[in-house]
Amino acid sequence: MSASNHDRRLDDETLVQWLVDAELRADLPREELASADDAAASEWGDFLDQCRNELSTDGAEHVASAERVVDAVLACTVREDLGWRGDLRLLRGFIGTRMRSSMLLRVAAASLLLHLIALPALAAYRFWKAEPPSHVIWFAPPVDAPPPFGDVLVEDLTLDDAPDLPVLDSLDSISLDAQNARNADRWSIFQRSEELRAVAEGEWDSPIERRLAARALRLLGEDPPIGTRSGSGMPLDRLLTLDEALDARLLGLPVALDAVELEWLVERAAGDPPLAAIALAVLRRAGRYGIALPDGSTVVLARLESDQFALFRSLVTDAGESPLSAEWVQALRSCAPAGSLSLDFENTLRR
Amino acid sequence: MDHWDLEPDPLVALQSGDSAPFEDWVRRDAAGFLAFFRRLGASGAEAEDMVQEVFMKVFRHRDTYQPTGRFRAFAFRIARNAWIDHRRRGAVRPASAAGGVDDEAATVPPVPDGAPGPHERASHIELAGRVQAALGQLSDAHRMVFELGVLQELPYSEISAMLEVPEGTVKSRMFHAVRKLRELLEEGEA
Repeated sequence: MSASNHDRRLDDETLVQWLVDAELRADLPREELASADDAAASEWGDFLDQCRNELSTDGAEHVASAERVVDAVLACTVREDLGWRGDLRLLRGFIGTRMRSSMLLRVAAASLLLHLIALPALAAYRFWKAEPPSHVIWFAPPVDAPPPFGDVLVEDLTLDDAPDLPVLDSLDSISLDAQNARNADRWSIFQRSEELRAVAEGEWDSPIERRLAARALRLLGEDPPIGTRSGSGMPLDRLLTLDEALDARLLGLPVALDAVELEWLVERAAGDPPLAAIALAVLRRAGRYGIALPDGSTVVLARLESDQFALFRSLVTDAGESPLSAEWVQALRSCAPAGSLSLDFENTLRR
Repeated sequence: MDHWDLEPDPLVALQSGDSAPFEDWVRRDAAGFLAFFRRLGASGAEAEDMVQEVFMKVFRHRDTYQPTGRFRAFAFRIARNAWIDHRRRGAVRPASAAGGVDDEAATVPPVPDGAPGPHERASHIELAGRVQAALGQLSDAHRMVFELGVLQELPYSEISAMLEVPEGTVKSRMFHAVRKLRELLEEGEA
């Protein structure tokens, strides 16, 4: 850059500074202003005026925008209306702005408006144009009919004579419990009739199996029950005989159980499993049927729920205490002679 | 001395319960502030938002305002801060991209009675677009100094205080801005 250009640059810079700032220009001494290059000053001044003119804000495109701003600012400041009209105007402005900016909102608003107009119109149409129903059920008392009970209501109801009911003593509750137990066992036999019939009609090899099959037939009511029978005197045979006697009680025969037999049953029940488990099952069944048990039976019966008889715990369940149940036969197999009572027999009794 | 030196300070008037000067100021300078933000690169909607923000901020200062200088300089300081905040939020296009005649400026506004004819008007729009485009090519610092000094006619002392730079720097920036603008326009004509 040459020296003359540098001087010109400085001059230009000073000129521009003077031309831009009126305050600065006013403070300058007159002789300094006079020393400025008139042509250069005019050139820069024209350029600045051109910029001001071209970038002036008096174009019509700014008018609408400026008016919007002025209205919004004044409405929020010095012309703010704190009453309901101001709130309404703000709300209207907000809704208008949002509606203009969203097509979806416009569609939703149109739909809402349509519904608001259509619903009252539809209701009015239904109200005015509704036809009366073709069939009307109308309840009205006949005008001239006499009252159903005449003029005077006569209380002709008297108390019924109480029938002669039997007087129950305190032991009847036990009888009712026994009756309930027998009914439950009868219901169980009815439910297991298919299994019992399969056992009764099966061909079994051993005497015990055939004896139990005959018992199943008796429980089904197709063979007369037996009362008491003489057996071999073996413990298992005596237990089966006592159980069959209980079958007879179940089927309504007044079969009495000898007190000696019951005492023997309690002794066996106090013994060791597995035979004691069968004895306990029979003793428990006798108690359920309302037969008076010897003293000490309650303590002995509690053994059936002890850990010693854990394998025979199923005899205490509803299914296991039923006559000739699969659980009972399973317990019987454990104390019967080997091979005398097959697993097939037991499985036939299971569902 | 411009008309501002003769007008009462709008906020001082508001403090004394007179809202008319404030209302006059809003009506008079709304378009100027709009153009100010438009020239800095804001779109039409952005400029409207920022102008409203400026007026509202000024109004909120009415209770704590102390007149230490010219009210106009105070208002433009708020406007400049609003512009900087807006730029920081990244809501405005770069200034170079905003230069030139944008959609709204390109639309031919309705011609009022007594206005120049279509040819003159088209020529004016074209030239204004070139000046605007050239202004958009300046740096932010130069453009701000040019805007405040040439277009808003604020003195260097107030621009210096507003921009928090020495007055000599303002003068230097002003010259460089004007010279650069002139060079750009001359290149465009060539």
